[in-house]
Amino acid sequence: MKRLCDWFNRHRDGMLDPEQQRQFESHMAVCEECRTRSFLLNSLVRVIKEQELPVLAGRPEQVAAHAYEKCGSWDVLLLFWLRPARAWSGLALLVILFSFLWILPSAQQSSANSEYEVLMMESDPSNPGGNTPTTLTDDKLERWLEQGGNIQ
Amino acid sequence: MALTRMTDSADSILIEAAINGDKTAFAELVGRYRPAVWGTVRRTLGNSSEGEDAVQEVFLRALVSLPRFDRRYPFGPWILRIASNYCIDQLRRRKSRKYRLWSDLSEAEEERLLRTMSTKPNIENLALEDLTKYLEVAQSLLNRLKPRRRMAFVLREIEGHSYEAVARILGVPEVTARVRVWRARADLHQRFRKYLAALEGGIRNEKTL
Repeated sequence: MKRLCDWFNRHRDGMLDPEQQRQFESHMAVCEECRTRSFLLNSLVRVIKEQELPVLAGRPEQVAAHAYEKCGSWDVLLLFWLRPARAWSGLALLVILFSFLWILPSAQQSSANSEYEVLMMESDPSNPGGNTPTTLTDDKLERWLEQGGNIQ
Repeated sequence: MALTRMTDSADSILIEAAINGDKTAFAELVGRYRPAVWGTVRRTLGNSSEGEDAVQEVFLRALVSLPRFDRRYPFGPWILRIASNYCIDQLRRRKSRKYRLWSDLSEAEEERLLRTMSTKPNIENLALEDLTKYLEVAQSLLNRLKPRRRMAFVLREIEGHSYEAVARILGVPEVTARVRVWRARADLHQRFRKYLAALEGGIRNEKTL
């Protein structure tokens, strides 16, 4: 029963073979659910189809003239280029670009700062645990850094 | 109007002329495709006053995009795709606004019409006044569908396009078009049942749907 109810859409779209069609029609005679579905769709479609479309007031020439008049205006062009899909992809690109320009250098800066702070702390005379010479000139510090911080 | 053939030579000449600024050529294109655009817009958006402006807007969008139109494909589905996108935008905007769920009919009248809809597929014998009421109820059921499903439903069931044409108009694979139509049918049936149950229970509350 349930399997036959699942054929409803295929029946409506004419996708069933003659044998399946016959089976479905016999099923519909006894299945209130499918019958109601079918009646509802038929009447809904029919009533909307039968609705008379009002006659449009403007002539095609007027529609065309209005379109040419508006299509060169900056607001239409701006709105056209800022349609949602384009606007969102543009915004996403900007965010990515901004992240590279701003977050990456600031991360490098922060890592350089941290390294400097560690060096300063290790060379601090008040830090007895540090294995760095307590008095370092710039030359010595450079050499110390080149040798991986193991100068004696 | 053939939606599946290539752009015919007459359309192609008109498009070329319209791109070069020939208003008469564009007016000729408007004249050819306006009935199809109008039907789709009106039946999707319902009895709203924005119909005429919508058609105007669709042709304005078409004119702006015309230089990018690929003339290997037919013009009909292309202009209908612009109309569909416009309708979907409008329906989404409406969704964000508060809009009326129930029609202005009395509960008894709504119930009577809904019952007729579910039992009698023939509406030829209905009086004009009843037909108008019937349409109002049908439209209020249709209004509750999700914009994309509603668009697919209107194109397939009301405008009578094939799934291939619906897919081309919506710019989606055929299977997606089919799924949207099937889901729209299921949604309509489900809402109809809830609508009727709410009327029977005397609950006229938007939260029930």
